[in-house]
Amino acid sequence: MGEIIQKEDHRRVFINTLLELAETDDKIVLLIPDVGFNYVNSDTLPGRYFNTGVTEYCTMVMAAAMALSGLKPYVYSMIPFVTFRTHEMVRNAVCCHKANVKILGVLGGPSYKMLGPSHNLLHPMEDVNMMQEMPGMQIYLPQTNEDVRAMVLDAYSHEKPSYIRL
Amino acid sequence: MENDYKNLALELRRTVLKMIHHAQSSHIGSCFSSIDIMTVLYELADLSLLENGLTKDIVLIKSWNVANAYACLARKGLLPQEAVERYGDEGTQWTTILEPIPPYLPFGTGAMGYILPAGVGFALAKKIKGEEGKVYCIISDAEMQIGSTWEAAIIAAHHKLDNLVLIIDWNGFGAMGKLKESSDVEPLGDKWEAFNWNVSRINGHHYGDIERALVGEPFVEGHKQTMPRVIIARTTKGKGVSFMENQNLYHYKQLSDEELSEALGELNG
Repeated sequence: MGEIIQKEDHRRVFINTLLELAETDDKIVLLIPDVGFNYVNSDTLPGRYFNTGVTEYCTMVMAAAMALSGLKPYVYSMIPFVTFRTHEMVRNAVCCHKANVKILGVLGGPSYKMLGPSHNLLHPMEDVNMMQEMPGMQIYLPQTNEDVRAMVLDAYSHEKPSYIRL
Repeated sequence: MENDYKNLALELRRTVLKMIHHAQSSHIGSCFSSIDIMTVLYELADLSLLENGLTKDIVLIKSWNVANAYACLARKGLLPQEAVERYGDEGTQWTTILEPIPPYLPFGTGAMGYILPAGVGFALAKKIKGEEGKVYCIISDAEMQIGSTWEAAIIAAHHKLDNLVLIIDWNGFGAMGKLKESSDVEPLGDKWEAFNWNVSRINGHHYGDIERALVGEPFVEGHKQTMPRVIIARTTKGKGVSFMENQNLYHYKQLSDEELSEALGELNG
């Protein structure tokens, strides 16, 4: 049986930073459309962690509505599923409502390459090009673990819709 | 009470007819399909404001029936009369497809497939925050053709969102014709039953039926008390004007002066 390695990478730093923020902010909610093995589970943020299943269209719209209700939703998945798949929902539900939704897109490591084009970018700026067209969207492209922490904290400090590539 | 609703809905039909004629816009058929439901709903809903700036009960409507909402809300003094008088005028915010106008119209349901997902988001947020109030969503039967509606149906049932009430304006038509001739969604009730929702079926032009269904409790039994509710309201597209009823031409057609005058004649009885 293979060992489950919990390495300190961008995803881990994001989750740890979010948990730290959530200790003093009960408005933070984490929406996971059935991804995040080895990073999040039902013990992460009890009562404020929702695995919504493979429902990205609905989840992105829900996140916008939850933000308008005063919550602070973080939507986390692999890049294609929170960008290209939900392009219209990010545009209409999140950005056109200026909803305080933070979108986390996981770029993944070298092991992702053999998952093929559905799970990877076709070119390095494919997701960023889309997000740059979104009104009011703040875009963060951390390069190091320190960047991730700083950028998650920065995105938290304002109410604008944000895209953080992990 | 039923007579009050009847008179109110008649007044609102006249208002909406003039608005759509003024704007030379579409959707009179669909507006008249849902206006009896919206008349009762806007009377029953608690639209007092909460600390988060939203209303206690949240009402999400079909974006292309926004004329009905402007008319209902302006009549209650919750939107300016300008929403009615300058409906569809360039340079105003009174678009003919709903854009967000908080607090009473908090979510722009412009593109189809957003109403129930947004309703689930608002209802789940209420649960998380322990907030009172219900979330009412009005959708068309054509909205049942959209995948995101079913994603939302699954999530709502999974989280037992008993503060969520969905009303389906079942007139049988989409934009281009009968749903039976595009992608049929029947049987409606069985689908929602299978998704574990609490289903009631009513006549969507009968004010007593609408009121009882919206108040809700008599329809709820056993374990389903904790489930979201759907009211399947049988309606007639274009209801109230004889030459518009079940004539899908009036989904898109703008109204001529003659059509306005003839329709008003019927509505003035």
